[in-house]
Amino acid sequence: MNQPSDTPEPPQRKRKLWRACVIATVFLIFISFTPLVIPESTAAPYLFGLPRTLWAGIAIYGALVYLTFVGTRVFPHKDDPEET
Amino acid sequence: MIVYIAGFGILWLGALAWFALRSYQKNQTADDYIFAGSNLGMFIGLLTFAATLFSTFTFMGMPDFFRVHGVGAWIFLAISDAAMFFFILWFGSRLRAVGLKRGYRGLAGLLVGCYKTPWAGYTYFAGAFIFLIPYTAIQISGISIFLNAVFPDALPNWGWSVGIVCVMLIYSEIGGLRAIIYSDAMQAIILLIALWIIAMSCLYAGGGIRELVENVRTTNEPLLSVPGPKGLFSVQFLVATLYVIMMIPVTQPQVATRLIIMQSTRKMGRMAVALGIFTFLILIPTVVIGLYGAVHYGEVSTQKFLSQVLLFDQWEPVAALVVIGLLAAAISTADSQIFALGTELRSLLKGDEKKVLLWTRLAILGFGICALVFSIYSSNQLVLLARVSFAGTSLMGPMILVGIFSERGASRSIVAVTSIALVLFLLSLAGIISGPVLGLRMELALALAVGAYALACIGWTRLMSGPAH
Repeated sequence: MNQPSDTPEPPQRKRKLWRACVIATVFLIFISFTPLVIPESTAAPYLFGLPRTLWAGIAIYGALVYLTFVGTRVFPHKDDPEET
Repeated sequence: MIVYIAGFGILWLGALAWFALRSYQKNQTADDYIFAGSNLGMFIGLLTFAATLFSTFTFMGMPDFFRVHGVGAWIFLAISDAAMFFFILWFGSRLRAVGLKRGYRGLAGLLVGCYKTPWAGYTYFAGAFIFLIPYTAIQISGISIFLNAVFPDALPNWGWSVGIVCVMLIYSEIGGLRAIIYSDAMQAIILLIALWIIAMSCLYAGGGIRELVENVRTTNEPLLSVPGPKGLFSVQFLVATLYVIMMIPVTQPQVATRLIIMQSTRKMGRMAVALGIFTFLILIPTVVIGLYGAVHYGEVSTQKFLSQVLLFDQWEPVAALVVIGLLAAAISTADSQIFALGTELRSLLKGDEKKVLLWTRLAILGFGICALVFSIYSSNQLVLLARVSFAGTSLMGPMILVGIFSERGASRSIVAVTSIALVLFLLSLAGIISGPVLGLRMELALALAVGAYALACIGWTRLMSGPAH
């Protein structure tokens, strides 16, 4: 493992963007468990032949992975020494 | 097909032997053996993490889940996994920072340092042992039952189990974590290729995705929405699953270890994104196979469905690849868990490093035997048993999170509360006490109780110690 470093605190902007990412992620996860994505016993409307829960779930999955990607760019962590 | 299986099998065993010997040559120190040099790049990190996470549970369990319970299985696993990948950015970063500061040897050892009591480590180790051994066992029994169904005259279930455990222990003992990681990488690639070939053949036979869905609608319409024909996917069940899956990197030592041994925090983040893409590629074929199964094998048993769709409906070389892929998947997940339990035990031991390593190796052997014995008696409900295992370990989540995030010293009472929650959960599994509690599933009620207590402790500590410096 690498040794810890004494890097300065990341900029405020990164923290704000990270918070926005977290809020967006929590929001997406929340709506995944609402009738918007999982309406009880309702498969319509279909999209590309897929039932609602499946296409909406896939769309949310994609959005969550994208937010993870954005998160890697804005997460205010103290980098490992070889990268600083 | 036997010829193809023998051919792929020899290649696979040869690769395992080569990985074990090469790792043995590279391992210079105990830390090399236990942590594979702590220098994983993004690609190899992705493959080993994926192989540890996705096992026979995904390969066999998820198609069957889509077939029996319908499309809600996507929310059950995919959304929970995606949430976990995002969570890794935050948790993994902190875990690495604390691990670097305190000298990481395992989560149990880390908790001893954070809580300043050995009971934190003992509680974690006991919880991991109690819930990981059954999970390891179902990997072994799942594939043994499958192989026995496919080749009924070759070996009994236990014979397959013994063979699997022997292979797993031999190369783990020789090559350590490095050998396991190499085999994980190979297994993840085999799994991906095999799943896609099967899914494409199902899609072709089913007339494309639109026709497949249309046929499901005619055959069993409730599969196309939640809660599914058997009512499994209630909102409460899905939310509880989200929690237990998000806690996997926190509570499962084989997963936490893989975060720690990444080359850098940045590469760990990239690995989380790549994992999101890889998981999508793994889960999409399981949807297709499951829907195809719902149309063509809706009424048959799990075993019959899996042997039919994964083997007998396939071209012989593909079926042989599936058999080897399943073996590799079961072994790579099981050996990671057994090895991680050994790592956790090592983190609690003190003294001469050579003696500690010897005890660790003996313990790995012992854990392997425990898993073997349990596998002979466990059920074949792969997904549900896996979920029980995740639910059990997830109860330790608040204790670990408070331990590693608390900068003012974590309250030891959280360790006691976690122990009580683990005992209550075990009692509920044994049927001695029964849920729901206040309308909540037992595991959700216990998780909320432990989480609320942990939050109360944090609040109290802050109140008593004044503002942070």
